[in-house]
Amino acid sequence: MLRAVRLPATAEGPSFSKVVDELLPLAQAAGGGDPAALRTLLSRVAPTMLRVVRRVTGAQHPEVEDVTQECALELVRALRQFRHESSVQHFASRVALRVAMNARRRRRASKRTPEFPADFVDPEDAEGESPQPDAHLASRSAIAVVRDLCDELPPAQAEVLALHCVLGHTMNEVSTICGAPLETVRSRLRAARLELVERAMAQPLLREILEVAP
Amino acid sequence: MSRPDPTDLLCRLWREERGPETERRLAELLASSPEARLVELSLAGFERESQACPGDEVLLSAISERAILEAAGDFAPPPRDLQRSAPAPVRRGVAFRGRSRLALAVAAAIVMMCGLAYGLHAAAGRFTFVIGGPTPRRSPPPPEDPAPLEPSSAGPAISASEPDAAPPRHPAHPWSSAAPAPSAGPPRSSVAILFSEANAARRAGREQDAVALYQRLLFTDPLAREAPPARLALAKLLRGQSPAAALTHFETLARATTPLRAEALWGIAGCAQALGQTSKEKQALSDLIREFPTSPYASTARARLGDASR
Repeated sequence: MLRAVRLPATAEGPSFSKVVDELLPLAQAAGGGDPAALRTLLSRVAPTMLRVVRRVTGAQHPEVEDVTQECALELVRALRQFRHESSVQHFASRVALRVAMNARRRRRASKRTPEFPADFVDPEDAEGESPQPDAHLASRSAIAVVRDLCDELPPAQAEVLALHCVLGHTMNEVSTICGAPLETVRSRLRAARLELVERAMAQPLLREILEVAP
Repeated sequence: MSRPDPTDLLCRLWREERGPETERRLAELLASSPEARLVELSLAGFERESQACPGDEVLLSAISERAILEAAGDFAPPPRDLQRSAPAPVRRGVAFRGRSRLALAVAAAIVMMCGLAYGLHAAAGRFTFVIGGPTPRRSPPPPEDPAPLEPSSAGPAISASEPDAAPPRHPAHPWSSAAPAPSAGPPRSSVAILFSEANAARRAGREQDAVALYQRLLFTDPLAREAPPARLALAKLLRGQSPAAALTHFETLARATTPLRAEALWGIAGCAQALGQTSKEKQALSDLIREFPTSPYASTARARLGDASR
């Protein structure tokens, strides 16, 4: 059963509230080595982790399964250090995010494996000759820019950017998930977004969208 | 009162139920903030990327089972005398390393015993030859001192039951255990290099080179992970000069259960239109609308299906 607990009002108003986490007892039992609890917990959080991995690496990435497996193993290890500062779902998301981002960085460093098919944008399509809808193309270009930037930014900044722009968390949520002060998150995100816009402006398709109001 | 951060507000609105009020606020936000437009585009893209696929349940179940199995090894309490000195968190594969060491020790003990038995009947010099012979490549740990092997044999519960089973260095996924070993194919790197070179050629505008490289990749290893995107790229390159060849590739791609099926169906429709095969075009567009109703192709496909029906 869920029970809402109000937190003190933040600078942005009192809208952020924390809900008592129904997965917490499961996580505690799983962290203590209870296999049944671990099984149930994984059945609840593994779909989220798979979604996070698909977002970070791309749905067609050949290593999605491997990376998700790595995420599950990492979560099992991390459960023993879980300090209940965020919800279990958010904790699992963060573990998945970190593992997937590390996998991308490793792949980028090694350059031995194929490029990300998810970022595959046909030049013909980009020129608008194909009947593929423009919004879809622009969207693919945008996620390619975000992913590239996440690969290159310092890890702390990349994590904040990914939590916000890849997973869609608000700044308050990012602050809770990362355990960082809201102002720190805001500052990291501001710098990352400036870089993001700069890179997007270098892409003809995105520049058009950014310059012209809909 | 300070103005809310545009992308933060976007993230809030993005998750709300899409009523008229939310749509209005979202439209206002997107009209006023380029940053919000960019983040909205990326969130839409990421949402598409993370859609559930058929077979996810099987995949997740296998992943969970594997994690539980590994956790069973991780959670086994180490011997009391090692609890203080355990240096680092247990890493993946430690159970397999423990088993390898145990197997090595057992093998060494067997060799020693055989050598000892043989030595009773033969000269003492040959005994040393048996011990130092070519069987073990690295010198095994001395059998008189089995203490270093104690932790691993007492740790993971699975190690005692099958001590001589050599674990794979990169164990296959449980869900693919029935499939043939991937080592049967050509070296991974050659396909990866071909894919990379073909992409580079395509981007540089060297279409003929790109076509040749994609075709070579598909010939080298048609089941490679790179094969579906390579086939898609090849089909798109061939679409203009040879719609019939492109159609074959799109149809092959559509038959396989890859995430590229939507693109393949769209390609089939385009090629069929170019070849005047109206019924095939209609069929592909219908399949596309039915199977991928939220796809960005779907709305255009509906319009085209209407045109094709007239």
